[in-house]
Amino acid sequence: MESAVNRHSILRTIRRTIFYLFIVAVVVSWAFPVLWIMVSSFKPDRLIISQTITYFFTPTLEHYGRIFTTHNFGHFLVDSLVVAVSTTLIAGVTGFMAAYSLSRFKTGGPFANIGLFVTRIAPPAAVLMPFFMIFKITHMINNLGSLIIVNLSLNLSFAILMLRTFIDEISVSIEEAAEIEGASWSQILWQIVFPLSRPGIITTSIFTFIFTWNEYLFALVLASSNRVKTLPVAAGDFITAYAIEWGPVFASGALILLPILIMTFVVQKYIVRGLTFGAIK
Amino acid sequence: MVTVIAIVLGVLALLLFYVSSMSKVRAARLKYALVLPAFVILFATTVIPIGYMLYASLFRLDPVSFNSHWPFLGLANYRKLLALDSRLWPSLLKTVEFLVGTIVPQVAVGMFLAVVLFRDFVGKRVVQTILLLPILSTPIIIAMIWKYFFNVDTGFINLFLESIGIPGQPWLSTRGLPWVQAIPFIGPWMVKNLSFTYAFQTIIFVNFWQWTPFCFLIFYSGMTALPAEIYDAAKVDGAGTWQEFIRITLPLLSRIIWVVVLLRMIDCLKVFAQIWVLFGNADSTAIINIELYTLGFITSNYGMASALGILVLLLITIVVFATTRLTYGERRE
Repeated sequence: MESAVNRHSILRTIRRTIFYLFIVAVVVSWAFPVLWIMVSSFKPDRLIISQTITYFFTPTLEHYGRIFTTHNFGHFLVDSLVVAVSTTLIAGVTGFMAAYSLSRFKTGGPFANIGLFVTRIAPPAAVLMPFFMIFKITHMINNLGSLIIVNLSLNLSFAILMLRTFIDEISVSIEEAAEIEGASWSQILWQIVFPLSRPGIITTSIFTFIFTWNEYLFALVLASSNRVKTLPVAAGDFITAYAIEWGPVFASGALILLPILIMTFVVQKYIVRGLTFGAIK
Repeated sequence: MVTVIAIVLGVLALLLFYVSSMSKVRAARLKYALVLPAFVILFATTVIPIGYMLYASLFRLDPVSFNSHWPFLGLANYRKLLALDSRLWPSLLKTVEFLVGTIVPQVAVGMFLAVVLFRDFVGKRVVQTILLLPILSTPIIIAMIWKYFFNVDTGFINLFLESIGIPGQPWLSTRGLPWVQAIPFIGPWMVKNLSFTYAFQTIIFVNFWQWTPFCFLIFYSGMTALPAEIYDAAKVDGAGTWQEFIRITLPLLSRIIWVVVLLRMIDCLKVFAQIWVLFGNADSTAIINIELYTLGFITSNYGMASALGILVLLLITIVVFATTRLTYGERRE
């Protein structure tokens, strides 16, 4: 009897150990690479390209110093911010109005939904050519304006679909009550619906910001001069066919990832919704 | 840059003015007035470029002819692209291989993680939070870190493998995978024609690493919505973990699984940056998006690239709508 209990508890301990080893493996597989970028951005060059793995070292700021002084990253950081913030603001305002209209009045019926869905599935690479040609004719290559336009094209339908799922959740009865009290439509929209959709607006803005911040293909084709460039393209420049400067790669990688990781925590509750266009909440 | 900021502020001011004048709009027209700004932006940035691309695809365009006379070709660009010896076919095949190669393991492992982690244990919140990290991370930075990890001589993976006595592998080379190459008769053919190479495995792995947590997250949240009574009943009937999964979890999650497959498909068809950073426009990993870029910006054949863009848009719309019907088909009945 006692030995059976004992064997049972031993089996349980083994199973539990295997389970926790598995958990550790999962955590390491997914946290380690991200952590490695952050840590390696402070690593001296000779340790980055060495045949032994170094975990402990005296941190150095030389890579950050280099990307900001010789590679002009301060300037590109501002460029990236201008593009991302502008896109987020314009997509947020126009998207909110459109989402409200689609949610409450079913404007456009099924065509609106299909149209918005179609714009979500087109691969950016497939529509690269016409944007490039149009901006070439209008002399807007190496101009942040062209990047804002392109990112609006890539993200506005997302903003509408996403905000719509939030507005759908707000009870119509509040608006109806306000209407009976004699409030005008614009008062209802801006003084009632807008404040109530604040979580949705914040979440959608963060997603739009991240998608624009991460955008690489169009930024590579439309703006890659030394005067105008976004951070991902500037980071990509350290990888050429001849050599790779890993120190600056890690420093710029950490610089690009840090705001995203922070924002990921802010929107974690809505990540599923954001990445499924509201198909799953 | 100052001009751009000024223009953006101008646009925002214009929007503000538009919004403030909305109180005068009659209720019946309000719904259109609200949609108008977004509609104008979307129309101008999707319909116009695609129309322009359709037009440009009928000409012979390169950086020189683009600025002067456009020689009309009719459908010659399309004919060339659809010819038997066109580069379109191998790149389409690679795209399909990429889709299958990334989506199947992502969904399978994502589901496995969801089932295994669907219980209470110490540090659960931490694990879930860590799994969120890769999802929104910048694709090219992810590709860079793996490019570093997979380096033959100094990469972490090989150094780690060697430290436990396993020989390092040439992860970034275009050589065939040895275990596939070793399959009698069909092995070499598979390597040559079906992309069983280290390079292809690497692009699949990087996408797998970034997106498996996303599949996990959706499956996990889907499982929390399943009724607990069914599982209790199954326990009473003496169903094992495996039976429980096959008979209950899988059928109840089938719609969510299809939605995930659909979304992953749409997303994998957009992949460019990761492959570009890892292997540039090397033939062995040239899926359709790499081919589009190469045609337009390395061989600088604007007309042909436009034609390819149109074909890809058509093809993807058809494929995605067919899959959407499969996914949502039952619901419509």
